[in-house]
Amino acid sequence: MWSSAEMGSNSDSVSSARRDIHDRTLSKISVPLERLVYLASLRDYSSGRYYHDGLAMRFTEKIAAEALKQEHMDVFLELAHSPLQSLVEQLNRYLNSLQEDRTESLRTWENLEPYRVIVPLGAERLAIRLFVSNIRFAVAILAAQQQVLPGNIGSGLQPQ
Amino acid sequence: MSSIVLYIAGGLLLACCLLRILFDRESEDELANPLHREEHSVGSFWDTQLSAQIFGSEDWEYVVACRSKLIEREFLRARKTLALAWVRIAKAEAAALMSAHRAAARTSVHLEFFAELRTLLAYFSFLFFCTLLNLAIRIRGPVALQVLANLTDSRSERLYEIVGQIFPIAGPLEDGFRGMQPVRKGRH
Repeated sequence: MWSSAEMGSNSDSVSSARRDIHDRTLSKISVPLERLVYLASLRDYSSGRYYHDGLAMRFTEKIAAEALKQEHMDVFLELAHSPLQSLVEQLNRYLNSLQEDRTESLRTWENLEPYRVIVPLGAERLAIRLFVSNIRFAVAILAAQQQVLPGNIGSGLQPQ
Repeated sequence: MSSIVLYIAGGLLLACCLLRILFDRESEDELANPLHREEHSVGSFWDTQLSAQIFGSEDWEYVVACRSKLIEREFLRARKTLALAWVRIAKAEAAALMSAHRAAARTSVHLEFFAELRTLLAYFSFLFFCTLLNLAIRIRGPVALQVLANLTDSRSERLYEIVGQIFPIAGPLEDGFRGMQPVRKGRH
């Protein structure tokens, strides 16, 4: 935690760090869903802290972590507020960009639900619920469109 | 004799339905995490983009265009759960505000009867819209209820305004309460 005296100068540094990560990396990832997956991958699963060596070298570890945390939250909110159709399109582009078999990826997303771990800590619960629900439907819609899971379409939608 | 039994059965059924509506609990938690079940998501209610999405018709129209009855059915079920959660959060946040207001009012020496009455009326008006929205969600689903959700939102906004006007009147006795000036965030 920062003291209130540190807050002012640190918020400037965090803004600079955010600009830096945005200009160098995030702006090159055109699909917001991909950006969300990327930012979530920089977070340690146990501690919830974000790590980025390059950014930490240019600023400090603490400021880099805070900048990534804020970026993560912003991207998440952008997606949580996105219409379902946009999420379907983004998920489609994301799956196509992977070097994996698309059918297999879709099946993994349906069964393992990896999208549950890409939400940022501290996000509003209702926003998380809406996002998770929308991604589940996006997966089901893509599966239905592709007919990749005959007899199993939308199985991920069944109540758990 | 049989008609009396029929009336009693009807009455019991009606009472059960009302109790179910009044004391409804979440039937499904999307996150399936019991640690979060009772946690209120403070702030979600003020996120109007979120409510527009939950109660709007854009996503539903897209789902219908996908032509899958299973997805349509499950979508409506999921959105209904989310919409009811939205109403629950709205009520919980207003109840917390009223509880804080009551605590402040108890220690205040500047209580004004009409100001308190206005607060009470605003609160009941808000609760009325919440109940109306709750019933509408259950009867016809959450899709295209944006107008009613906005009305409920505007009632809560009014309640926050009124309570916000009263706190400064209450003066220095509410020192410990100053930090709770109702500030609505996320208005778009």
